[in-house]
Amino acid sequence: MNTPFRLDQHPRRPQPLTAPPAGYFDKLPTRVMDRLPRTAAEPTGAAFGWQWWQNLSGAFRTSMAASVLIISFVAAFWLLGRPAAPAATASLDSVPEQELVGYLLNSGAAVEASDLAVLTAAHPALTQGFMRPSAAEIDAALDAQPLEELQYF
Amino acid sequence: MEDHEILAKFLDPASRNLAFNQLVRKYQSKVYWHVRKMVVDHDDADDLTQDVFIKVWKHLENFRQDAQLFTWIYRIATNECLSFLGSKRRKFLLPLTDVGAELASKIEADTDLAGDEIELKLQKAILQLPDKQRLVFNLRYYDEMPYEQMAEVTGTSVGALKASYHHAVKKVESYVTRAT
Repeated sequence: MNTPFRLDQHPRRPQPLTAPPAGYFDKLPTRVMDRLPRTAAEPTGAAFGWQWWQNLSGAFRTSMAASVLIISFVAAFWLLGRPAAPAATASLDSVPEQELVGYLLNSGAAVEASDLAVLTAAHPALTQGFMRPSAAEIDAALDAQPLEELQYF
Repeated sequence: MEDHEILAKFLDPASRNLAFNQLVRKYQSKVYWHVRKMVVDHDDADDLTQDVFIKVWKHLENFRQDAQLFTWIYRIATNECLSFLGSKRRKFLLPLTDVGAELASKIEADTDLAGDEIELKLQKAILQLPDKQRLVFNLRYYDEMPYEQMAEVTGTSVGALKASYHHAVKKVESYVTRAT
């Protein structure tokens, strides 16, 4: 009869099989590192450049993209589609002369020399339609005006 | 380097590779021998050990630290071994005993066991066990792992592990007794 085998009486060999080749455990870490996904282990230059973007949360990336889009639209509108502001004198051209005279007489607005200078600067040919009185004609016209004492106060 | 230090460095992209290299150096021997005892062949164990660490790399960022790093790595290694043996059977349509016979032939070719008849019979007896029971046997007998840790590795209750180990020892002793 065979002697019963007792496991607890048998000397235990922690590593019962043949050891791996010499230097195996020295090389294994390098071999494992070589097999790691390259993009994850060593980011390439392009990937590294966008790493900050990938680190942002999805919601923040979406809001940033929307902001950039809106800013682009505003800039494009500002630079390309901005309508030219009509010149003040050009808009006045479309107002009938009677209305202009009425406005100036009734509104109390005072027309100064600077206003006239701006007007002639915008329309150099404007003065061609002016009367060209002589000094004697001007004196006669002034003499014809009623002179009231109140005007001197 | 302690596990928590390795994990902290791994979470920092600047020191990730260095930390992982440290992790591999720390656990490579245990993982290799755990796998090697399951698949016997060195080349298979080499491939599987590398696969285990690749998986560790992929999932370490999500490791929740509610288990020990060591048992978590063991669990990955265990799953890799069981998948490998299962796929081997499916690939060649081999029953359990044929895979055991294939592994036993590799054991017989092992030069370290030449001349040690009892040890050779013991190793062949262990290979007769079903994969999961062999796994339990290896963790307890060779690695002397506490049952609580074994439960984390295998996802089995402590009671079931104790029963499984007890039956495995009886089977092994019976096989060796009959073979001598």
